[in-house]
Amino acid sequence: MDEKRKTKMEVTEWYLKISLIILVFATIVASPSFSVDPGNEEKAFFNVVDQMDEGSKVLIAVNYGPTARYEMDGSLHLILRELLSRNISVVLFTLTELGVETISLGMREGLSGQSLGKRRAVYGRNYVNLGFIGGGTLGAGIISKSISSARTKDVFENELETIPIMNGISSFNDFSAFIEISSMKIDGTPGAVILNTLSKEKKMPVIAVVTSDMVAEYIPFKDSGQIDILVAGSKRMAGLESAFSVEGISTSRYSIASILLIFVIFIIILSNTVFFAGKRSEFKQ
Amino acid sequence: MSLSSDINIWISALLVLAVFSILYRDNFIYRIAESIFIGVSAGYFFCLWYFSVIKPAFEDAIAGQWHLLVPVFTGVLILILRKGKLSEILRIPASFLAGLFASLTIIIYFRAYVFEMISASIFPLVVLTDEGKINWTSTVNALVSITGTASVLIFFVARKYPDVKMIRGYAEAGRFYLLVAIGTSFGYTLFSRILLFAGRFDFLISQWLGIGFW
Repeated sequence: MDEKRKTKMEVTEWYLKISLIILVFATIVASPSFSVDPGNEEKAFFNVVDQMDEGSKVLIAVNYGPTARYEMDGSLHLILRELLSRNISVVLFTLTELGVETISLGMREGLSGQSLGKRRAVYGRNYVNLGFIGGGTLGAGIISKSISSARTKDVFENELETIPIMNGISSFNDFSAFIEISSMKIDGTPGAVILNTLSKEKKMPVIAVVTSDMVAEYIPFKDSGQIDILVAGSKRMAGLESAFSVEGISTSRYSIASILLIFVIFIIILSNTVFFAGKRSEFKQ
Repeated sequence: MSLSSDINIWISALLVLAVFSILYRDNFIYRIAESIFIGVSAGYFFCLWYFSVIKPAFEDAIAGQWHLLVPVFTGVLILILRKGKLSEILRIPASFLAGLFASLTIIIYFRAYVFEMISASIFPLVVLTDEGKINWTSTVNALVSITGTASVLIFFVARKYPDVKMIRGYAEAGRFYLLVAIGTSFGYTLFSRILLFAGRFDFLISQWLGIGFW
């Protein structure tokens, strides 16, 4: 490649980088918000939560770390708020080491300044954090039908027997629903599928909320009936907020990412056109 | 605009900018940020495993469940017996781990990836509504699904029969299905990475610089 063309390409690359940064800045500051209608899966999710009795207990696996927080936090906050405001208790745990911090931050940020009806969420009574449980340990706990085989203490070292919310819970099947909020598979298998496969007496709905890059990985499990409800990707998370009549951060973040995606696709098409046009003119010469 | 007065936000913001500096070129500041990231990650994972796995197991062992020390002992063997005459003993913990992992994953993989997936692939090609009419959406979906499954399977065995025209034709269809799947997966991954990038910018703009939305 001659020196002149190389310099030209470098300058073009810098123009693109700077214009991308400006666009990201402008889009985030403008904070657009496109409304997304709820799809069938989001409506089904809403119906499951809506039909749950007060005092029910839901098991939530938070399997994502800092890299997926921007995409997933909106859904985690929404689910926590909706369940707790309906007096449904929540037992949280994670199958990935990175999830411990995510749960703590999720509880702090998701419930800060939010009124849950007339009540406040109390640790131990309305929610509990079991911390990190390895995939194999979870498997052993499900097979032995005893939650104590997987965990005997919560993340703050309290014995599970002494925590009010854990009364009447002896196995992983004693919950009203299982929700996995995830950005990864655990040893090659979705966490929801581990629970579904190993528990012989499946009686609770298994729900998965996953990041955009996990959509293609989870769809076969939804289609084969191993996951009952799948809220897959950023758009569907915005739809979930819409199903609960909430305009939260998932909707605004989805809108920001959509604009940026259009810009990235435009750059890809433009750069390919420029590249092939250059090749053609070279060939003619 | 109101700059954050929180030291944690400042440290995070400077590290984010240090990582973004790689967009210009490889530099010293980026390498410092990279080293900090690796060091902090290692420390975090060590603490987490110690407090959530090792410490509870030791406490339970001391409380009378002495059998919990067996895996600890085998784990220590892995660390110390890498070389020397006794290194053959390494096979004991290694085979124990492989056996345990296999016994758990065989159940999960066979049921989740084989049994359930095959069961889900068996469905009528023509789907009828309750009134007995053809449900075109489900029927087309079923046809696409069965053609895709068959052609992709043929694609993987087509190399053995390069001279059979029919197999080659099916393999081409399988290749098309695979490319569509890979393209879709790439699109979703790109969207996810854009969100990650936007997330860091959002942090810099709203939390560090304190520029409010309007």
